[in-house]
Amino acid sequence: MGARCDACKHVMLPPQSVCGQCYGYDLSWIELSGRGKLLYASVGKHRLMGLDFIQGTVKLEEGPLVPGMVIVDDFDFSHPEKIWDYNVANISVLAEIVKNPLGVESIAFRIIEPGK
Amino acid sequence: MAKTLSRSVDILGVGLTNQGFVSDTPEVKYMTSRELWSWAAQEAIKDAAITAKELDALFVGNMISELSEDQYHLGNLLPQSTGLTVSEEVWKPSVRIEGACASSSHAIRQAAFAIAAGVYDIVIAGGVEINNCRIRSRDPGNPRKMTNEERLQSIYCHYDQAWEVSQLSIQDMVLAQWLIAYAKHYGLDVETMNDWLDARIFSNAYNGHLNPKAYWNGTIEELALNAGFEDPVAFLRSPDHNPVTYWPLRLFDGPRRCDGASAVLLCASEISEQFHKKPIRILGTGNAHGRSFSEKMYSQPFIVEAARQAYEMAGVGPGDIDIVELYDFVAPEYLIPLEDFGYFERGEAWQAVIHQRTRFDSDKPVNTSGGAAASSVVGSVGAVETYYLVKQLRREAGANQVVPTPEIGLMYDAGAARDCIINIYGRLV
Repeated sequence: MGARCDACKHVMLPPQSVCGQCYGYDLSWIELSGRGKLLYASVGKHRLMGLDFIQGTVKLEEGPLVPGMVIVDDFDFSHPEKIWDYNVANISVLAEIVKNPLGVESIAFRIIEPGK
Repeated sequence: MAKTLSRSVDILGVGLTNQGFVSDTPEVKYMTSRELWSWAAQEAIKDAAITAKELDALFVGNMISELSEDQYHLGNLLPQSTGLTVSEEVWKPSVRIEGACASSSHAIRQAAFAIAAGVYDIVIAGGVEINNCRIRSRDPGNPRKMTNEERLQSIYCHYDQAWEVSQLSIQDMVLAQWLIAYAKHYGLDVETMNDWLDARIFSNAYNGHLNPKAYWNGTIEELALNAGFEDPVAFLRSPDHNPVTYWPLRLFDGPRRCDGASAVLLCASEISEQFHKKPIRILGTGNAHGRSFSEKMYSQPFIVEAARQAYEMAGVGPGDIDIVELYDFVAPEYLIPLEDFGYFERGEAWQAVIHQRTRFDSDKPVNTSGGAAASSVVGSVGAVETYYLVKQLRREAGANQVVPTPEIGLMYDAGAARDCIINIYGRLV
C-alpha cells in the first residue's frame, strides 16, 4: 500500500503523512500494482553475512522509486559482472513478498519481461 | 535572498588523534571516547592559542557509542575532561549530536550557528568514535575488535529499518548502482569502470602515504609486492587479495574503519584575531537529506542541494575551490559528489582521476589525507576533513602540502550516503 495525495495525485511509498510535492495533508491509501521497471541493480557477495544476492532500484508504474531484492532465476553469482546487462535495460518487474536470506519478510521484484 | 551567517565564524584551532584500534594500536590502546576526545580537544585548544577557560560550549558528534562502548550521553561525559567547567561541580553547555557518519559535521554546523546567533563566542566541536572495537561496560579493561555481527549492526542501524534493511537495500549496494549508472550514462565500459576504481585507490594511497596521522599510510605497490605481485594493478584485480564485495566494488573500494577523534575550535570572527594569526573562515555550509537513490543515480539531488546552499552562503562558485576533502566511504561516493558539487564538470571526473589529477601535487587535489582508505572514523569524519583542510589552508600540511597554498577548501561529508553536509572554508588573505 502507498499513499496518494488527494489534491495533486502524487503517489508516495513509503506512505507519508504530508504530500512531498504540494505539502497537502489530505492523503488516501492506494493499492499499488507492484509492476515497475528495474532501473539499476548490483550484486552483493556479502562476506560478513555470507550471502549472495541482487539488489535493485525499481520505478513503480505509479511513480515511486523502491529499492528491493531482485529475483533473477538461474543468475550465476560466480559471474557478478553479468548484472551489468540488467542496468538501464527497460526490464519489467513485479513485486512479491518473500523471506529474504536472513529470514525476514520483505518486498522483492521478479523479472517478468526481459529488456531490449 | 542568500542565507548567511548573521555573525561571521572562524576556525581557530584543530586537533586530531592518531587513528587505530583501541584494542591494539599502541598510541590509542585502552582509550575510551573520553580519552580520545580529550586528546583531540587539547590539541585544538593549544593550536588555537587559548585556554580551556575561554570555551563557552561543546558540540560533539558521535554515531555508535552505545553500541561500541555501552555509553550514551557523551554530552555529559566530555565537558569536564575538556575543561568546560564553571566550577568542579558545574560544567558548561554540552551536547552530543548524531547524524550517522555526518555526526561531527552536524556538530560543527550547530556550533557555528550558535556563535552566529550570538549565544556563544568560542565553542569546541568535533567528533569521537570507537568505530571498530567493542568496550563492554562489564569488562572495560579488555577492548576487543567488533564481531562481524556487531560491525554490521553499527552500520545498518542508520538505515530505514522498515523500508530498506529488510530488503537488503544497504548503502554499498546502492552506491554500487551510483557507479554503474554513471558508467552507463557516460558510455564507460566495464573495463574503464574498473580502471577508474583502481585509479581512485592509487590517488588516495599516493596522498595518504605521506599522512603520519592516517591509520593506514602504506602504498598499493608495497601491498602488491608483499603478496607476490610486481604489478599493483594485477594485485587489485586479484580475487584472492581484493575480492568483489558488491559488484563492481571490491574490498579496497571500501573504507578502513578505525577509532579516533578530531576537534575544531570555532570563534566569532570579530574576536578571532586576538587569539590566532591564521584563522580560517567558515564561508558557507549546506545540509540536505535524501534516500541515497534517485531516478538518474549518477547524480544525487541531495548533494546538489547541499552544495547550492553552501556556495550561496559563501558567495563563491565551484571554480573557486582549490582543494577538496570528501568522505569516500565507498568509491562511488568519491566520483558522484565531485561532479554534483561542481569541482569537475559533468562527465569529466572519471578521466581526471584516471589521470591522477587528484593527487596532492597535481592541479585538482582531492583527499590529500588519503580519504577513507587511509582511515575512517565514522562519527568524526567531518571534523577530520576540517582538520586536514585547515592545515592545508594554513600551509601547515607538511609533506603533502598543496602548492600554491590553497585559499578555499570544500569538505563533503555524508551520513549513510544520504545526509549530506558541505562546508566551504577560506583562508583570510
